[in-house]
Order: sequence, then structure tokens, then C-alpha cells
Amino acid sequence: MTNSSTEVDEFGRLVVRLPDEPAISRGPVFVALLWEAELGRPRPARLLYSSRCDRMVYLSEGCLVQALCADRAQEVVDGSRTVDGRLIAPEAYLKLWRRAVAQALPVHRLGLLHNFQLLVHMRGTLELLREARCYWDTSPFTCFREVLQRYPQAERQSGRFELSLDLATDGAARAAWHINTMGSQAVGCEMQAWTSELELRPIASVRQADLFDVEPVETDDVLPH
Amino acid sequence: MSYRIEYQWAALRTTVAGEARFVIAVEGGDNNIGDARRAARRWEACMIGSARQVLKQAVGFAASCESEMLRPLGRRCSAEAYIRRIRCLIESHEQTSGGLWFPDVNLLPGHPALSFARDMGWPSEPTSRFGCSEVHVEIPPQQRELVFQLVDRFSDLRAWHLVKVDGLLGS
Repeated sequence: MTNSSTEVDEFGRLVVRLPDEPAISRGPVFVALLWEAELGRPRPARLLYSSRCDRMVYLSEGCLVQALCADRAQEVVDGSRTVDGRLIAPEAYLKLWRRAVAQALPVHRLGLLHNFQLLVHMRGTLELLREARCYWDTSPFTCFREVLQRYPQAERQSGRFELSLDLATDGAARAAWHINTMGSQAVGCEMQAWTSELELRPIASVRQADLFDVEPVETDDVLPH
Repeated sequence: MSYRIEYQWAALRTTVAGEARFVIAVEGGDNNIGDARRAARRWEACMIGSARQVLKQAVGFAASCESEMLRPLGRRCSAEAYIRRIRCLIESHEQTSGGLWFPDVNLLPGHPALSFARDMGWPSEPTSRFGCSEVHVEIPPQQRELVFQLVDRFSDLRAWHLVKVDGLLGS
């Protein structure tokens, strides 16, 4: 059964697996990507459920399914969301995502296969962060000063902390998770004093293999000397 | 941490303007309320509306299965299995024996459904539940099926805001 008048059609999904490292979660953690078309117009790929209250979130399988049940799986029931142009049962919809989790792509292959980079951006007020401590014994940092020693470029003269990490680099996912935890705890109720977000950034460079597939430009004009 | 256990499910079916409408009654309760031998439980209306509306509400509840805050028969259950259970319930044509439902509308003060109730000529009076102010709306027995109009118009209202169930055998 197809439905052409649907508001949103979901035509792709991908789950990216972050490296298995201790102290992030009891099990593996993921980032979810979605491709959808709204009223027939395809939209660029985007991240799903990647932040809560202006703070980055890594998802466990359970958290992802729970979040889907709260919105998108309900939308497939009333037909306002289709999958590949077809109406689908909510159980089948969740099964698609479970399969995506089972076949999750390691984060370091995201650039190679999909031309995307997964970045985390963290910003905060240094004054509140300097004395922050980390209480996780598996953290690469015991306090925020060690973060500043490892990433001196993050300390800005304006009194701000600004750090961006590529999650495909070794140890970045774990470092980002601990820095975010420390930052969130340090600022307490001053929520605006610490923000962190994930960004899905298309890689601008052309793949080398594509360079020789370009059609030659046909023109009668004589090139000027 | 406490969690909810569900023990029994029943679909009370009625037909409104040629379309099947359901009140899904669930016998359930918290795992840590009761005595040492038996957790407390009671029947209550948990989902209400057309098959599609009920299924949508079931998907919302299924989120809690994934976090294990909701455990049918005290066991872990996937979200998909819970949705399937409710789908089977509304698609099976077995009549639940003895069960009945009746409107018992209790709304928060200022809820837009109150002006709908006023337009319908239904009397209302302020009341309180668990220390919170509510407005009780009286729907005449001969108009009881109009409660489904509230479900259609106000998707934020839950079954327990609108109806009560009775006559179902406890486990």
C-alpha cells in the first residue's frame, strides 16, 4: 500500500556505533542518522535525538527505541510518516531501527562510506569550569585542568572554553563524554554556562575515484590566449 | 526502583456511528505496593478510542517497556511485543464477559475540553484528586458515547481522565 499525500516519508536510516569504551554506558552507544522527505522534498541527513537540554547525548539501543516510541513510531500509526512511500506497522518500524542498530557502522567508517564527519562542539564559561573534577575512575581526566592541558587551544582569551572534537579520532568519544559530564556538573543550575552538541558535517572534498568520472565540457568557443 | 506490572488486559468494544471504538482496561499496579505475598493491583481504563487511536497510545506506553518501567506479567518485554499484544486484543473479536465502562470525566481547570463540555450542556463541578484541583464533568448516561468525541478532539486526554471500568474479574 502506498500513500502519496503523507507529510513525511522516511527513506533512509543509519546507526553509527561509537567505540566500545568503558564508563560511557553499560553497553554499546550509538548516534542515529535519518534521511526523510517532507511533502515530497528530500531533506539532508540529520541526527536524531542527539541532544537534550542543550547537552549532547549518546544513545543506547533502549534509549533509541524509547525515543522512537514517543514520536516517530506513533506517526507511522496515523500514516503521517511512511517508510519508502509505504504505510508500515509500528512494530515493523521499530524492527527497521533494531536492524540498523544490529548493523551499526563504526564511526571511523562514516567518512569513507557516507562522506560525513561526526563532530562534537563544547562551549562553556571557564571561570565555572576550572575547578571541576571528574569522579569516574575510567575517565582520561581527573579534573578540568587536565582537559585544558590536553587541549590548550580550547582556552580562549575571552574567558570561554570552546572545543570541537571529531568522534572518529581515537579516544574522542570517551573524552567528549567525560568533558561534557564534568562541564554539566560544574555549572549546576546555570544551564547556559555549558552547552555541547553533536554535528553531522558533510565532508567537502571530492572522492579521488570521482575525479575521473567528470564529463568533458563541450564548447565551440575558442579559449582566449 | 519501582515499576508497573500489568496482569490482565481487556478490550471493551462499542460501536459509534458504524465505527468500532474501544476502551482498553488493564489490571495493573506498582511492584512495591502491597503486602509481602501479593502486589496491589486494580483494573483501570488505560487506552481509549478507535483502533488507530488505541494503537497509537499503545506505542506511547511501549516506550516504558524498553526502560523496564512497565513489565507485563512482571517480565521484561520489548516495545514491539507490547504493541503486538494490544493489536491482538483489538483485532480479536472475542467479547470480554462482564466488563463495562462508563464516563467519568475529570479535567484540569482551564482545559479546552471544558468549553466543549459547556457547549454540550454537560454540568461540571470543581473537585480535587491527590490534592490537585480538577473539574468533574457529568455526561448523561444516554450520551455516554459522546465521550469519544473528547478523544477525537483532544489527543492529550488519557483514558483515565475520561472513563472508568467495572465488573472485570481480578487476578
